[in-house]
Amino acid sequence: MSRVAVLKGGGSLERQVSLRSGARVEDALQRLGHDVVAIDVGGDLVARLRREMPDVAFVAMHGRDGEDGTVQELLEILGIPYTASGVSACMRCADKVLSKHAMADAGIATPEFYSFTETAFKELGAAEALGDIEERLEFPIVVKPADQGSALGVRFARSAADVPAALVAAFSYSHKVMLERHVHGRELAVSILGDDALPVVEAVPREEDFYDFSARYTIGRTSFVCPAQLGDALTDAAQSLALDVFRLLGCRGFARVDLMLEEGTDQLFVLEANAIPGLTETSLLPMAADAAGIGFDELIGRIVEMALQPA
Amino acid sequence: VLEDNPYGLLRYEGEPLPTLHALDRGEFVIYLGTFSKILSPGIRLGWTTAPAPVLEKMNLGKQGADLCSPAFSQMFVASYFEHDRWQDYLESLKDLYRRRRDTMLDALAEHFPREASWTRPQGGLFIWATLPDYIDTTDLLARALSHNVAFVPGRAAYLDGRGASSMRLNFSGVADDDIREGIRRIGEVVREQVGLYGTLTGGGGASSAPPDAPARAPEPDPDLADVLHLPPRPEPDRRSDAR
Repeated sequence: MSRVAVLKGGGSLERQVSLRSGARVEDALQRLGHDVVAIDVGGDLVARLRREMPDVAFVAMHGRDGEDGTVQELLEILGIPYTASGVSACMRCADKVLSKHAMADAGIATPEFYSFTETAFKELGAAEALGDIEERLEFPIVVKPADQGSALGVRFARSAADVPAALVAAFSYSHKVMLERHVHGRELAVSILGDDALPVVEAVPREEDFYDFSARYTIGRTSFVCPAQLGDALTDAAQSLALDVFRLLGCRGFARVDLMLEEGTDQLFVLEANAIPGLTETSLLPMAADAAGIGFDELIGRIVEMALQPA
Repeated sequence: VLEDNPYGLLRYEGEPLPTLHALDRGEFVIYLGTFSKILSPGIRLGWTTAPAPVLEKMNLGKQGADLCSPAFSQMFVASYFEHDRWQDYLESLKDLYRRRRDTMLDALAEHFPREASWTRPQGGLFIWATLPDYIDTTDLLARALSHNVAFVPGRAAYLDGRGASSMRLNFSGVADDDIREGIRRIGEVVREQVGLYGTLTGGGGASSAPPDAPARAPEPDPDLADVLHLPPRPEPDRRSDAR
């Protein structure tokens, strides 16, 4: 039995998801017999961690602060072991541009992209280059903030006229945005637990509108299939690709890698890696673990054990 | 017709508006009132009038939900409204909210870019502001939150995706200085976005609409909302009066 601090909430836009992940983790830890301290992360985080003196911290936070290495850095300073990835892996995953560059450099297929800061447009005339970018990526183009989870601020631009408003939307969430070639095909998620890839989850939009991102993330408008019906060869390829990304980015414990399987070519592309994927009732990692015969309590127990093992 | 009228008594100028319930003489209108905005939100009490068969079912539903609202709170409110002083209190609320509305209107004129427009409400607690079509207020909210200021994105007011470029601004619960500061901050993020769009489209100041954006929907015909001069439903004939 360990004293486990569950860190949740915080000030990110994904606070509500984090509170749900955290609550579910707390319940599981209690059932496993651990001594649980729930902490809604705020200005008193360091003081509370010093006072509570947990053996380990379960970071159940998503988005800014919790998933970008900030909270992990504080835990390092305090000498408290914690779940999932360390500081540098969190930073690489949180910044989609950074992780895509790392992947491209390592020869891992990721959709072609260009990324700019707001300054590039305001002060360096980057808008002049939009035409060239559009020509290379071809429409539709996906426009997304570099460091925002849960598909917030993600837009599809179908034509040049859509691009400025899509960029304005993406810049609402981040000072850095990315224009990415849209891969038409099936959307897959491969979760990693320890050194193993879990069964592949496929997100299937109920309505045939591939360009409506919000539809895909609205409950009831997307259904999830696990294990995805891909055949052995593609399943193996997707899982080993996800493991490659997990290792490349230096992830630890667990993570989720999102992929696209291109229609026509059957080529796999990596979109991004999530250092702390959701752990709610509807989240994909617990769904994949379940398909592998690992119940939620066992999943949480193993994640905590890994955090307590010396690296 | 369900008439939910929490703000009807909070009217700062113009003729008092009749309720739909009064126009209809209560035949097809269920009317909801609340003490939340004129006495205290925490008291959790309101009132309703409805056609008798509807009221019967509402009572059943209410009993199913919570048996009944606390008798103590109900007696407190009943005895408070037996005397006239509630009207003085209401007047003081109206003075307060009228001043805050005017503070917000002044701040909007000072801090919002010329591409924005907004309502000048004669009552209630909200101003509805509309930005250029290329700004989605659901996204804008993320940027505003990073400046520690919030509003309700307009899409929340519709079921069909309209309202994307609008926002609801609430002036009721915040002191004048905070209203000014909040509007200044929202104005700042809006200006940033307008400027960015201008840079992206090569328009500089971006006072023009985007090239192929749909034309802004025309303002609703004010006559359509002129309920003051609608003829009331004729006095119901005795036989149909179920009560």
